[in-house]
Amino acid sequence: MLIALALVLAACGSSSSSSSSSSSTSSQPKAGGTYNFPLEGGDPVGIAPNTYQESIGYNVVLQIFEGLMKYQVAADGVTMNTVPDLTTGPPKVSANAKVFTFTIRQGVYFQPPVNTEVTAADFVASWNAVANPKNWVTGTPAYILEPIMGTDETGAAKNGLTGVKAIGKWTLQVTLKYPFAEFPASLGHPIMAVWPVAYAMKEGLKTFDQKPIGTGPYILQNWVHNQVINLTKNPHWWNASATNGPFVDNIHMPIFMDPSTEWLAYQAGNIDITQVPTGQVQSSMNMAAQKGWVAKKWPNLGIYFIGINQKDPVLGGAKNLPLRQALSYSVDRNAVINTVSEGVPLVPNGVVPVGIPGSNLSSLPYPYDPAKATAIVKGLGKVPTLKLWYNTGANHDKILAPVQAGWKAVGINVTMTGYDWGTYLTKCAQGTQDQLYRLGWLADYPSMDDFLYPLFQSGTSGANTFTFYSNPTVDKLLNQARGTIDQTQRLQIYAQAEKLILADAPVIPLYFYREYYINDKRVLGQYIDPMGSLNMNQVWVAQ
Amino acid sequence: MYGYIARRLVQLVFVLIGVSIITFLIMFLIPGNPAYLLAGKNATPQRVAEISVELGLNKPIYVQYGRFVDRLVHGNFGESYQFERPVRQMLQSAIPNTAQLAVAAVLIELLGIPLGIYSALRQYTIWDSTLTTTALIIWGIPVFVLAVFMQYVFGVYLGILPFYGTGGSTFLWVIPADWNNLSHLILPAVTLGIIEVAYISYMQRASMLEVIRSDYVRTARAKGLPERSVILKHSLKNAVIPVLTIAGIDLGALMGGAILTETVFSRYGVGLMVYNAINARDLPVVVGGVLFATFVYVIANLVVDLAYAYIDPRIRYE
Amino acid sequence: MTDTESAASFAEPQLDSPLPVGSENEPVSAKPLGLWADTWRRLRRNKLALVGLGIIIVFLVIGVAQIIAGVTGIHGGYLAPYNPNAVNYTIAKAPPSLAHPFGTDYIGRDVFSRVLVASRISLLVGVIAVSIALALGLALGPLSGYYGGAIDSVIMRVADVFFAFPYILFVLLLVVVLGPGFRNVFIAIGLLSWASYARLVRGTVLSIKTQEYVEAAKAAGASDLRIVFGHVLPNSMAPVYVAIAMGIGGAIVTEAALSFLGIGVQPPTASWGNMISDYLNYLQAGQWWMELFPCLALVITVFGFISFGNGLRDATDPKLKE
Repeated sequence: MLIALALVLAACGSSSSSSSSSSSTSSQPKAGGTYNFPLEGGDPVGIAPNTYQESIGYNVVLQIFEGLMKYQVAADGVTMNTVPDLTTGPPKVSANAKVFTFTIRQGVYFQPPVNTEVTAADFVASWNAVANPKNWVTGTPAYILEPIMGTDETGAAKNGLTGVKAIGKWTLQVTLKYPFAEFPASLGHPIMAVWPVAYAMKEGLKTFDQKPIGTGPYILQNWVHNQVINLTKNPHWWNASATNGPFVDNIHMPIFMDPSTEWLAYQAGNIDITQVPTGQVQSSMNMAAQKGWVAKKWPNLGIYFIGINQKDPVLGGAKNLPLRQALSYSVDRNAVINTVSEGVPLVPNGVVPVGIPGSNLSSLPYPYDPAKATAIVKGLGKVPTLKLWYNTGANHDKILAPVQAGWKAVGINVTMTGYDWGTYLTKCAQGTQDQLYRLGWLADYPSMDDFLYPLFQSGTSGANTFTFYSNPTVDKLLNQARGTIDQTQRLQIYAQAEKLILADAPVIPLYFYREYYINDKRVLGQYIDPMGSLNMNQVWVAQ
Repeated sequence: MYGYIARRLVQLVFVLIGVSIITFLIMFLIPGNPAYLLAGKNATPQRVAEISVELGLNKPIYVQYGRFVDRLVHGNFGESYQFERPVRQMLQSAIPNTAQLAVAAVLIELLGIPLGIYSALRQYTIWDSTLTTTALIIWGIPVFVLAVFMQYVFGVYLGILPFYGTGGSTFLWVIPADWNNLSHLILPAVTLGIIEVAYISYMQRASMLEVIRSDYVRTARAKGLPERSVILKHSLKNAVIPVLTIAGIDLGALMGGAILTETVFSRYGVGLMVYNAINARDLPVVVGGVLFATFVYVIANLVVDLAYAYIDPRIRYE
Repeated sequence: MTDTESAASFAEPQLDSPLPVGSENEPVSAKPLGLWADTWRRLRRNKLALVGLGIIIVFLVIGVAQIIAGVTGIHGGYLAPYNPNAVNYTIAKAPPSLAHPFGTDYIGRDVFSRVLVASRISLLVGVIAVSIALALGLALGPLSGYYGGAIDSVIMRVADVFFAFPYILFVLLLVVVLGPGFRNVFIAIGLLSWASYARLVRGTVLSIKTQEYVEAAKAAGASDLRIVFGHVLPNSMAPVYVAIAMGIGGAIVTEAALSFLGIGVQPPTASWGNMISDYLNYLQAGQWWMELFPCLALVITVFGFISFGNGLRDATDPKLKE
């Protein structure tokens, strides 16, 4: 998702990072108690598969719903893998990477009051329902469905999802419009979750969206808009065990409008985990060390970059590559990360964040080197004053001020203008007046494709990164990767495309996101994975 | 008098029409197609076009406005673009929080009346200058700074009051029915109220000074009435009424105006609702919230004027 | 209606609190004619007002100097020990010292220089916003009051709409429409305050237009316009001067509130408002100097304008004469 607000929270300090022992107190998890988890930024727009759209609701929807696949951190603690959830194993893939066959797990039941067993037919119904524009809210991310046969380019299947078939009770066959080997990775996205469609339609979809029912470890108890969401344990969860949980009886999720209020609420002991507002990361680490809290920076699959409009006569195209190189050479990423953001984010090595399988294959071709930048600028002669845009209200001005200062230092004058998010999106999408602008991109699902295809493929780069970048070789490589079933080979092709993209410099990667959280030791098992989710079934109250 | 009220109510209708037209016009003039924002990520031109059609955004503004008025006279505020919930429902959840906060803040600011009177009666003493200076200083402190300060001191450091959200239950929408509800109200109300205490006490001081120097009070003094009686019988009422009217108008104005306080205290109210809706280009919510706030403001004004005339018979309706 | 609503209500500074302008009550009218010396004599006795005046003078001197520097580009466009926007990571978050009397901020900019230079934004916010409001109010108010009838009705009904529209929401909407940039912040604040001035002037005009010198001018064959703007208006200005002083104070605080919502004056241009809202987080982290000094600058300046405005009101209000 595009991140308007992502940065409100982050920021942070010394690399001598966080304190403390953390979680492994080796004792056996025990059941009971309440876990208090904050939702920061306002009321979620939606927490059902057909309405979910922004990160605030992510940790709610994931407790209630499950899909064929889910994401799991590998042993290295960073790499995010896609693993089977409501399917018994990885799908069978046809040789052309277009047909995927799944075997549905038996013994999975919908939460009360539905209580029926989930079958392949339920997936067919669920996916057909979310592909039907009548069931969308305006921001439904239906584009996730777009590869499936029967959809148009927005992901809408007005005449049914012809590519999805149930074969018998337990087999689901999915046919795509084009080869897409990474397709299973998209199946952990909330829109692909299974839900009791017949029941929802009987109740009325609007009613269901307010009190959704899935198969997950927690059941929605109530949702008081703009105030709180409460969940309770699902006693009949299929995957329950002494190690899987769920342990806590209730999850209490108060909604905060303001990050500093959330942090104060944590200090007052009202919530068990918190993010920390920009500017207080360093001091919060000291406080954590004193009070015995766990302070930790969790990798997050997202990139913050400065986009460069390739349609701009001064900046775009091959002939202006030297200027783009100079811009990139003069960005002191470490300074931004260590001062304004207090050490929270990571220096990027490409456009695909660390943690996505295959992301380790790149490096930045134009790292900080003001001398080189100055030389290039001298060679260019007169560089006109450039425009840098950002969206207001989320600290981007703070992050970009040092970048602007760095450009000035090598002789490139850049003016900064802030627009509110709505105006910003429209103006950037037009691609007629923008030159440089900031943007964040968070993973929809952990796949290199999600960071390369929508952002840099010539048909979609205008809509997603507003760069209007187009390189036929890159396009060809991306399509070739999508058709390659062997993972090692596929990732290498993606990495090859990423290298070409980085060399063309349609964007200047500024940093990879990390999320800085502080949590108490009253509640153990609080792990934030790189998708930003916290498996609450693993959480248990120790004291 | 009934004629006067009727005329004012007709005026109210005109004001509401004016306010709604201005809101529509402004939302229409905002650069950028709301459909882009609403479509979210991967907003293909096709999807943007579909949303425009679905919401009628492709229609000329007067058609959109006509449809809005048509819905409104049928008692329907429309549905939020973003949340796809009825605006009426959203207002219903926001209004009690706002109303409660506004009433409480106004009650607190009334403390400024005795302070102002005291200050006036002791004009140019050390007490007067201290009170007045304090009032003027508090007045200039940005409300969000004060809010965060209150949160930290009373919510975290002393840990005696909740400092975000709402809780408990109410009686007649605004009267706290339990401690839980009251305690959530205290910090935002005091934050908002304390700045107004300063303002009210300052106004009260000025008003009181004006009255005790007026001819009829001089006359009363000249007649040899005891000072106490002069103050109580002749000055107080006339000095307090104008200040009460300001408080009354405050009550109306706070209905849409406490965005910062509502944000910092995570207390969802009308101002915050409209503010979020402006950012999301959610026209129905913006118009609904603005119209509600305007309506209460105008009615509060009317009530204040009527009460004023009732108390002070010298006033005639124009 | 009687004269209840005093001019002081102009100054309502907090965006987050109501703007109790107007109601239907007519504003204070009448004033002693042109007796500036008299006013000054009475003003002198009010110490608070004198302090206010002193603050205003200091503020004006600093602000005007910064504006001149900004326009002419002397000394790099600022009159301060350091470039207010110069980033220097090595000294970030340094507490006050001799070299940096107000300390440095999170990227090592000198807070003292920023506070000084930002005075120009506050001055411009106050002056431009109030000028716009005043221009509209002084054009429409006298017409309304002098002619009465249909003109009066139309102008006053439009004013009603502007009064009733929730102030902060109106400012927000306008800023979003006008787009970013500090000029637009000034314009938005200005456009929304004209109604108060119009109503104020209308009230005084109403009470003055029947006086003898107006009748005399009429008899002498002066045109309406000339009577209104040549005779009536100059004699209706006392409450307006008060309103100006307080309006400037109000506009300065409004800018701060807009900054908190992220739509005030945009960085790297320093304004007291965006400094206060930017640095708020660092206060809790123990770096109090970033927040304290811009806050003090704002509070003191607003104090100056409001206390002077009120002193002026006391001094020009005939009923307060002793």
